[in-house]
Amino acid sequence: MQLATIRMRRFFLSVLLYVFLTPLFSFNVQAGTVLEPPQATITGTVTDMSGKPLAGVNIVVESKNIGAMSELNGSFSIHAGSSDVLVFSMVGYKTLSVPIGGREELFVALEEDVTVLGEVVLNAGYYTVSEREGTGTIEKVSAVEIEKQPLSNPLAALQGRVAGVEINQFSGLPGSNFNIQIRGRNSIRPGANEPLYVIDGVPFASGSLGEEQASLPLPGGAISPLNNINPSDIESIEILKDADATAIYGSRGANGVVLITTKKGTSGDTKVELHVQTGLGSVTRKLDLLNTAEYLMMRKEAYANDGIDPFPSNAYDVNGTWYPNRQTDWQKALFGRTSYLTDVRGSISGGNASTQFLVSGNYYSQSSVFPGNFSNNKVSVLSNLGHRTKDNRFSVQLSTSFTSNTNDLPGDGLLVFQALQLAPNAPALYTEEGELNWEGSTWRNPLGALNGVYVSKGTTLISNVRLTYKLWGELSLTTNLGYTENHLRELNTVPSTIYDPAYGIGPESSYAVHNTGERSSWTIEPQLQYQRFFGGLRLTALGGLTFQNQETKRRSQFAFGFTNNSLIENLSAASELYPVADITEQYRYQAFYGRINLSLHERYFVNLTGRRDGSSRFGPDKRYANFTAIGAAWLFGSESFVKEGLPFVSYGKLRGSYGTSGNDKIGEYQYLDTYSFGSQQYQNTIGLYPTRLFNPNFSWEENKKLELALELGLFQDRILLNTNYYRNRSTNQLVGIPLPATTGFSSVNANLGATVENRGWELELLAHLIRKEKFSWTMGLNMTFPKNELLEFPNLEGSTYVNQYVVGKPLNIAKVYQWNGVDSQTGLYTFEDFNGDGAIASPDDRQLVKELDPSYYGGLTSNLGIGKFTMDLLFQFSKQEGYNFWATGGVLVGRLGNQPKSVLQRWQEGGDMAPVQRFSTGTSQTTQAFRNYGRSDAAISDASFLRLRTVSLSYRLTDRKVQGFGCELFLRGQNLFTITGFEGLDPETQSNQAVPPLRMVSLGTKLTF
Amino acid sequence: MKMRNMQLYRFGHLMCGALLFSILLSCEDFLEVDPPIDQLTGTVVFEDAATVDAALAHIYAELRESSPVAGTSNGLGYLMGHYTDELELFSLNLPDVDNVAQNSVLPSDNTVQNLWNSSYNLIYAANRILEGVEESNALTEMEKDRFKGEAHFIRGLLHFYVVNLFGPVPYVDTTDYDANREVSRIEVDLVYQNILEDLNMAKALLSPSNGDMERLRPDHWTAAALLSRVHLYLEDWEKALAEASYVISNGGFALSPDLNGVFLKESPETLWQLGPNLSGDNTNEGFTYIIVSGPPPNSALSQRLLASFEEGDARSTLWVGAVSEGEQVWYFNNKYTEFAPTAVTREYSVQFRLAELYLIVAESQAYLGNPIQALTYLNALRSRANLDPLPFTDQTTLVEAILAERRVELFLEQGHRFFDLKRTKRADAVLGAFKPGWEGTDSLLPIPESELLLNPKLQPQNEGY
Repeated sequence: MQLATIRMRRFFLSVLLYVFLTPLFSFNVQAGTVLEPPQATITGTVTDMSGKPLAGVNIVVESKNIGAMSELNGSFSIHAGSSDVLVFSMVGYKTLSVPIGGREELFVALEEDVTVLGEVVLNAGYYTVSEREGTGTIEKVSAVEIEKQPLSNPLAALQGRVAGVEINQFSGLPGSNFNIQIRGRNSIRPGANEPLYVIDGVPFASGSLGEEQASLPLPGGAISPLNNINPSDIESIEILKDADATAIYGSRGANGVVLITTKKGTSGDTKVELHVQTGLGSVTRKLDLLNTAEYLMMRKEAYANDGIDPFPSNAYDVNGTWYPNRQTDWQKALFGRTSYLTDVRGSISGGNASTQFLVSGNYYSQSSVFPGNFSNNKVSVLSNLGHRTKDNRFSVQLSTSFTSNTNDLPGDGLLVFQALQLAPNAPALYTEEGELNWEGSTWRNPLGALNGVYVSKGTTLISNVRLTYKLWGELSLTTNLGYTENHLRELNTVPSTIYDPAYGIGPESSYAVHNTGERSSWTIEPQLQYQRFFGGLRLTALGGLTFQNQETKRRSQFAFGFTNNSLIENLSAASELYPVADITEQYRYQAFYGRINLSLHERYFVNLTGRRDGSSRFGPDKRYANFTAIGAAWLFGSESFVKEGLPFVSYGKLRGSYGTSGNDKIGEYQYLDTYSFGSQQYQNTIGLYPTRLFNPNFSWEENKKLELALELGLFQDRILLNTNYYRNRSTNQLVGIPLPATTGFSSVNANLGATVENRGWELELLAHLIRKEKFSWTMGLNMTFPKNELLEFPNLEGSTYVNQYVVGKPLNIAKVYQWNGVDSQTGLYTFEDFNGDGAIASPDDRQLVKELDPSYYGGLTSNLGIGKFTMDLLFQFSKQEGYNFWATGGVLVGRLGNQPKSVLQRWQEGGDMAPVQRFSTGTSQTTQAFRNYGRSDAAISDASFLRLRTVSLSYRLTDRKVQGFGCELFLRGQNLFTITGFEGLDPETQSNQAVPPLRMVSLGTKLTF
Repeated sequence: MKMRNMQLYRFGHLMCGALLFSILLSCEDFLEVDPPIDQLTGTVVFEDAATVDAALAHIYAELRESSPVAGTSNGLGYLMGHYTDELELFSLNLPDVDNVAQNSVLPSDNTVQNLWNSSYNLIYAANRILEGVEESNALTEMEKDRFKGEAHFIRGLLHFYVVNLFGPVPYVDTTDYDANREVSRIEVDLVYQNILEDLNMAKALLSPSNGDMERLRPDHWTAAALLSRVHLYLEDWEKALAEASYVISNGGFALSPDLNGVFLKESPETLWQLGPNLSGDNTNEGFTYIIVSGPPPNSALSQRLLASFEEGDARSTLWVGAVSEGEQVWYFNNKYTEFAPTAVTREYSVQFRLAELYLIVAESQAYLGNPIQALTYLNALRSRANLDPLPFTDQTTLVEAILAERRVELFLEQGHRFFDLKRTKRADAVLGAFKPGWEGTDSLLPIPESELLLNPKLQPQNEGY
């Protein structure tokens, strides 16, 4: 029996080694495995003093060199003799020696040791690692921080909190998308810079299931599935940044990995938590526009300048058709309403040492700032169950969450844009009878669009099961099974009533777009883990496989022509019905991965990770690739020369990593030469059109990451300082190379021999200024100094990118005209004539390069606790230039359409020195000069901002531990103020069409029983 | 306890077994995915005449919806109506059309990009068909001839519009994107040479009788008609006359006796027309031009066009509609009378009709010194419009009369007015006289800005932009 066991062990070790494909550690491991068999298996749980399980506690049999480590749920098992003594140690806790005394099961509680760095366990995806021992760069944002903000999208919780992560909101509308970039833009291809999202071990596709034609109202693309992840269900979000942490995600790790872990139950009394908050919100910023008097003066001056007299018949605003004395604040009328927020959540959790559970539910509702009844409603439930057998050999963790999200918006996304452009004396929205006022067809009533609606209903199911089984000794097998399902139903209606009745368009021309999309995905990830001590050396190894299958189906229909507009949502009432899209896509992915981690004397660490990936997104000859990384760390703070020589250093670590990861975000089937079905018919035949210019030979984009970091804890960890330097180089760029229309298409997918580098410094500082029982104050600062550079681009001059990129500059640049002010004689904008040909023309004169990346950004936090009061603040800041109002400003200054007040400083007569050109209703010269102005450096200006992202004030009325129930009152504010000199609506969205982020104030209470 | 452990052991072994098994299984087969259901691979398309026909159907549908010849507000009829003197813009919400109307078009305007991009996209589709059909082993020679003939025609037609709008342009005759991404502009004469080659090829390949009763596909006669137009533009009067006469004598078409019947789908004078998307749909032209009530939400006919009708011209009442509010009256293009779908489709979008060939014959004959023959064809159209026949006159007056006739006969059809002014070099005199924005360089539109950025070989930009 024993011999057989040893043989089996040997066999499995060889399997392990095979999986790792790493010959580095083929030294005599097997010799070490032949040990004196232990007398008994001791199992148990380690917790902190409050009963919370502790993971990563080192457990050593004192007399022998046998060790073990506790699991995520605090459980452990170790072989020892009945009279041995077990030593439990973990940074942040006092070391405890426990004599076994013949027991088979032990419950151990460790006391916190406040004098050393508080220990944080990080989820690295396929394994966990303590922050102290980690060799990679992993950032963690935990529930405590996420909970303090009234949010509907988990990404919003990361804004300003994490160094190296840039997150921008596309609009203040609930449900809209975020743009997230971890350590800059690696890929030249836009849309390929999103990180990989993994929720409880299951990859989550963040691509929208929306139909473009239906999702028009949402700026920044269609509705984001991430909006269906409930922030209050999240226990922690970990962000993996460097090679050491991301290489194990191989081809999908190039842009970083965002790991989301949902809340789990803890053992102890059954706990009920109820959390209620309500809030009010309005847009953070509006533009200062001309009033009616100023506006009409501008219009009249424009006609006078152009020598047009009398006013033309369609100049309704000045020719007396519209009242010259009307004045409407269109911004207030069209997006100035108060948004109401209601957020209720409750949870029940509890369990004992072997079984824990958590059930929670959440209702979230937020109304919009538009006139009319529009809102976002979200209901979600989460359940989590964990069980472990008494002997600790087998455990199962099951988690399921379901979210249903309904978003109701006006049918077109132009309300903000119109609010900026409508003449201040434009007619009233309604007639005296309460009907929409079209003022004799002299304007397009913006509320007409509200007769059309956009409704999206999305549901998301995420479930996963994690089975762990201890095979032999320290060898255990874990299998992660995951299933996710996303559904989205969209409806966008365009009834004839959105048009002026004078168009004569009746319900027979009304139409609606219906879209249903679903995406389901399963993963199977078996994994072997092994841990072993060899004296002071600890070896941890894991190896595993991934299989993933993802299917996406989407079907959109265009329903046209109704007998009555009230039937517009009914497909069968449409006189014509045809498909806009009917798409099925399959994605398959498989991988082998492995990790070997060595730790010597708990001071020196080496971590090797690798992955071999295959993806169906590439042509048959290009499907596989390998990714590897090495990371190392030295805890020099634990060396005696530091302890003695620099006693104020309580913690010090130097670490570095280098490795590769990849990017396969190109979409399915792109390597195939195909024809697609069109949406139009001819002679009762649906047209077939060539789908794309095809290239079967494109392959992975590769990203090489280098990282160096210094972590320091000073004065008993009162001050913690992390400094990182990173340098990521992305090669073999997989891009849709833009092509001129003479090729028939706008792009073709191919690999480009260009290299993009992202390098930078990240700085994180945490200072526990005051750390008393009744009075504590912690301040934190994170800052990132990113630099993006296009290192090389073979034959850029001859490529189609010649006017888009410059070698030695960041990717995010604009080549623009150089604005030289207003000609004092002609009153026209003038520009630098770079090629000296006497004309200002693109591209030769668009030679000025403006950089649009932030030069630095970050966040500042303050947490103050006085007695029962706590106050948390988060400031977010960014130093950057961006597109201002004039880049997308639209209307020529002087034409029908309102303008910012700044246009009053215009040129009026010969000799004037003014920043704004003469008013004009549109001559060739003024139109051209104005258009060029919008493409010049004048349209790119300072967009830096400092925003008070979050304020949270709370008061603990009673404490559950003392009174038996807890009650906490809180007042929270989001985006309370913004300091910026930005010329436009909002420096974050930098758009004239998007609703600026909302300023939200909420009041609530949290009860615990 | 022991029992349970044993079971768990077994379970563990099972899991191990499964792991090993999956290692063995994880060969490359796992990555084989099902092909997409909404796409056909290129080679499959050309193995069946029905799918090649569907590929052509796509081109015709696109010609109808978004190409220079479309009857929508992106098409030449509407745009050039504003660019010249046929339409007046009322809408405040169409800034790009406003630029067209004021002759201050910018290289970045969507209108310009649409005209350019849609043309080359369909030229690619035509080239793809030519190459696919050539390589196909499954199609019969007859099928191949028809497909290739139509593709040659489409390629010639689109290049004809592009060269007239933009001047020297590249002639794209391959699907190879490495070649097409750096094509250069070639002289207008050379473009025309290629167009003529394509059209002659189409004329040779397409059968005179293909059984297409509704005339929804360009055929032998359509190719000849376009050849005739091209020769007219090149002022090769003899060839223009030859092609036009060939169609008139042999094509079996006849003028519709009734002006109200000219644009009906059964009209005997139609050579080629574009059918609707769904049965019951009528034309984009009807939707674009007809005004239901005043004031006009978008555009109305200009006073200049209305004034160009002679007293008593039946076209000025039968092809022109009117709406009024109070004392004000506005007029609109009523050649197509259906604004919305009807139970059965009544009108198709007419691309080539016999009346144009009559006018080509008249003009060619006038230049060739045969005024009698010229007058025969001119007066045929005049009498249909209830106008008195024109008496014998000198060549200059005759040519003037023919051009005036073209203006009222072909108004708002695929930009005829603009191209006529341009080819007769009168644009500056006529349009410059009353359009403040008109400049000598406005006979050509600007090459889209994005094209110059992506392919520097297309430089230089047309003068004046």
